[in-house]
Amino acid sequence: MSYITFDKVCKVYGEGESAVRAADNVTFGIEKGELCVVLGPSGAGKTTVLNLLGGMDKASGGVIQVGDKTITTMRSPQLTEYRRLDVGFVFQFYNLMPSLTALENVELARQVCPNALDPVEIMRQVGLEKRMSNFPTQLSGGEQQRVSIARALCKNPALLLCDEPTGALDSKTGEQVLDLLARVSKTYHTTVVIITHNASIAPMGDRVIRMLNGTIAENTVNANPAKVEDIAW
Amino acid sequence: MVASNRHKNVLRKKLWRDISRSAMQFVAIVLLCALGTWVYSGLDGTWRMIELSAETYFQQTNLADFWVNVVSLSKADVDNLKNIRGVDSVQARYTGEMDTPDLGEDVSLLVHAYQQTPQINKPVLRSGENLNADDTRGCLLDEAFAAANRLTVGDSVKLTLDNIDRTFVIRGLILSSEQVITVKDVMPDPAHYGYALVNWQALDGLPLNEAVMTLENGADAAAVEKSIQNLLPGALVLTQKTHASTQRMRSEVTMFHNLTYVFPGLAFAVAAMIVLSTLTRMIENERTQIGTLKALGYGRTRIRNHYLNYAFVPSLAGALIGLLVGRYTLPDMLYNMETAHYILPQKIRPPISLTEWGMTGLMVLLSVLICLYAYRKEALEQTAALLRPKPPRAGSRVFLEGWTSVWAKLSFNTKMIVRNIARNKGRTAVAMVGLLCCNMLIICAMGLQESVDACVSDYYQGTVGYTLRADLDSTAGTLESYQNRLSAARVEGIMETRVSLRYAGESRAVVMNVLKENQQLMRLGQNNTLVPLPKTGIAISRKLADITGLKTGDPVQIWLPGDDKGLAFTVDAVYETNIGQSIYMSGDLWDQLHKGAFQPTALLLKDPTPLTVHQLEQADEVTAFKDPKAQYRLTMTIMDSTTAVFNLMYGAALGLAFVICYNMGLINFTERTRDYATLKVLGYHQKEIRGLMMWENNLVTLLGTGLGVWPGVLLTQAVLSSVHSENNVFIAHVSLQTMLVASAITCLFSILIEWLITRKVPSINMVEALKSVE
Repeated sequence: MSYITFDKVCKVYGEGESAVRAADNVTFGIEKGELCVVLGPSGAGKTTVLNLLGGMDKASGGVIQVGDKTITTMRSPQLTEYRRLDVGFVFQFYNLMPSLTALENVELARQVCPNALDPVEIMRQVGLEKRMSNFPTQLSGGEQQRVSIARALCKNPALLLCDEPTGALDSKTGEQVLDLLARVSKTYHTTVVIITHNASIAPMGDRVIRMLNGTIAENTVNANPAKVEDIAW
Repeated sequence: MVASNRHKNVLRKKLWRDISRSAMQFVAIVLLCALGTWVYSGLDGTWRMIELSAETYFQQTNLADFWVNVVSLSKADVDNLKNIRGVDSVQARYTGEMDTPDLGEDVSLLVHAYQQTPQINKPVLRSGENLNADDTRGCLLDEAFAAANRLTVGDSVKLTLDNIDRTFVIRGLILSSEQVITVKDVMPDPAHYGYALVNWQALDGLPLNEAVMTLENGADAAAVEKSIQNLLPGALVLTQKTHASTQRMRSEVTMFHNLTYVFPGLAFAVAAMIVLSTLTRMIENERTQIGTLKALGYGRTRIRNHYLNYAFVPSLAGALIGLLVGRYTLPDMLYNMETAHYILPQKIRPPISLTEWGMTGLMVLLSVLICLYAYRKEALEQTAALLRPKPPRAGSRVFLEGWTSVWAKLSFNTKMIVRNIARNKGRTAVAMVGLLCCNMLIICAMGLQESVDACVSDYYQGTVGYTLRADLDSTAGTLESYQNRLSAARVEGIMETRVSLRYAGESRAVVMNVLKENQQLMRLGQNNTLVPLPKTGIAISRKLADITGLKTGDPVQIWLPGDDKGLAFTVDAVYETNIGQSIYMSGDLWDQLHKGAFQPTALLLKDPTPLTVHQLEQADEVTAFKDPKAQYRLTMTIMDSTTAVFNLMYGAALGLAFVICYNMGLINFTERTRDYATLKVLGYHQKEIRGLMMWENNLVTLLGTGLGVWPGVLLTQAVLSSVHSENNVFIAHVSLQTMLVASAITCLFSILIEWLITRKVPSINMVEALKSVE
């Protein structure tokens, strides 16, 4: 059985005739330590799947299993514990606390996570050892995204969920961020799920899931993932 | 033209939808504008209502301009008074207190007996019939006194003076404009003291000892007063300014008038500040929409006018609601409280004053200008820039981080909160000022009560050293005879005489207290210490010094009743007593004046034995007993209407705090929803996020509340100095306990409101909140 399994997962917004099925009988599996790229156009249901997987939203039906945890049966406090201990999030728009420095934003994660890693060390690993005392507005977009990744990594999560992590970045910076995510997956054996509409990212994934209209169109395992620097943007 | 109208309609639709979408914020603006005008129109309406009702009453009943008290008034005197230039009319009458033994030992009436039908100070008949000019058996009785003593028209009442009894049938129950407040000692007590009107012919042989006079329009009152004093040198002349009832009534009006300068200013300032912060946020949130409208080609004026309606509509609604609610609530409530002591025949509601309209307009104008300021801040940017969302406000280091040792000791959460506070300085400042004002008002409300209480209790429990006072009539014996007869820790006497004090061309009727040199029961010095009475001059109370402007060393004249020559003295001391406009003279000096022996008008006793109390109860010359503790309580009850204003302040302060804290809390919550959602995503429990919110609020609350303490004390002083009481010296007295209790109330209230806001945390939808920057 896969580390992550989606079994006939549905998410319906609204009711009656205006109901929208954002996820429609979604079924797939992701193995532990894989870097999985979830690909699809706008409205395909990628973010819905990510939100359900991250415990930020509740499924209307089906079962989501992460390791030995059944996410779909968890109540709100359990979901919080799950997000706190098991999941790291990276957003398209970083969502850093403007009043905290880069290092403090990373420390924010350590405040609630007992198994957290050393924030200074993580900052070093993401290449921001010289920017630790800067506030988010003093950092470039790529640097902010790296802080966001460092914050997610600091929790030492089993699962790293990234929603369009390069969406707001230029190609060079995006490449650096993707390289960092690939290294994380390899170094920490962290399961990384990247949501993107950018098909050129797909070759770097151990697994590529293509979504269309709320359903899984394709789930392929990539035996030879490409290096980030080889990806053509 | 059609297209233009359509534009207008669309923008109008947008306006109403925006209002309904941001209902809470618009409601807050309505409430704050209403609060600003409510306080003003309420207090303005109050003093105008009391003034109009009282002045109309005075006018309709032809209230006297002068009361001239003499020993006896001849027909020639009356004619001479009439001939003074500027005098309109004069009526002679007898005025004096008479006992009513059938109603109880301590019950007495102030009797006015006119020679002819009263044309000056005309009584207002409430029931029964008027007195005929030849009726020597009938009387008109004070309505409140009759009610308190269960007397009615047709009953009889026995009046006793100098052991002569006269019985009268009550023909009618009346109100008198010269007795708007009927006070023998401290406060009205209709069960024991009232007034009655009889024909002078019924009082066989009693002299006409008072002339009441009215002036022609535009007459020179000071010149008339001088002429009266020249004609009747020994007369005690009272004007409307010194006539106790009229003066007290008008000083109440002045008090409420003065309050309109203090509180509305405060309410206006706070309202403007909150409206500023609310409207700024609202306009900031409309940033991209302003950009869209500009991009669509809408003219600047049209867009600006659209957004000015954000302020105009709710502020107009709020200001008008405040104006109307203020007019029909506060004045009626306070008038009813006032008239528990001040009896006026009818309540007359004045029209809305120009200043009330002006303040309403000012509130609207202020809001619109604030909105214009907020709009210009946004709209001056280029259209393209407006179409992009505003970048988040940058974080920065705070001052505290300079103190590394302190900063290092702070917890991570505290550091985060301190930085947040610093990052949102404007919003934090508004919240803090709101709490500051709230605490200031509560401290002021509590401080005023405490100050009044402290001043009154300082007199009755500090200055006054006796435990019982027994008032004596003119048949009283010498002080020594009582000292020999009575058993108490101390027996002293006081001789009180109403005299005319003349100084620097002015005159004033005041009470002169003559005390023996060795007296110990009136501690007249600073901090209630015993001080020797002046040997050659007189001493005056602090209030008298304040009113007259007299100071130590000033020459004065004292005219005793019936004398045709004044006695010259210098003011040798000013006594720091809190109550009373009084002159103090030593018994020795009195003896040197050869104006008769020292005859006590009251005995002051410290810890009398029960037997002594019994002896005094049996003594014919004792007219009343006064217990300082009871007098203290009575004095405090007359402050009821003032207390009502203080209670109103509590309400206003808490209302203000609620609107401010809730509004600011909501704005804060809305703006930081993204931050809270991020924390939720990171795995922070709701309890932890709520804890952070509470901690941040508590810090702001503590700062705001703390900063409000000193302004609260200053406001108390300002209000006390504007509350002109003719008889009392009020000094601000705000204890540490009051400051702590008031601050605790403010803090608890703020914490409660924040707790209500933190209940919204579970409703934060992480997915929605983090969807995009917009």
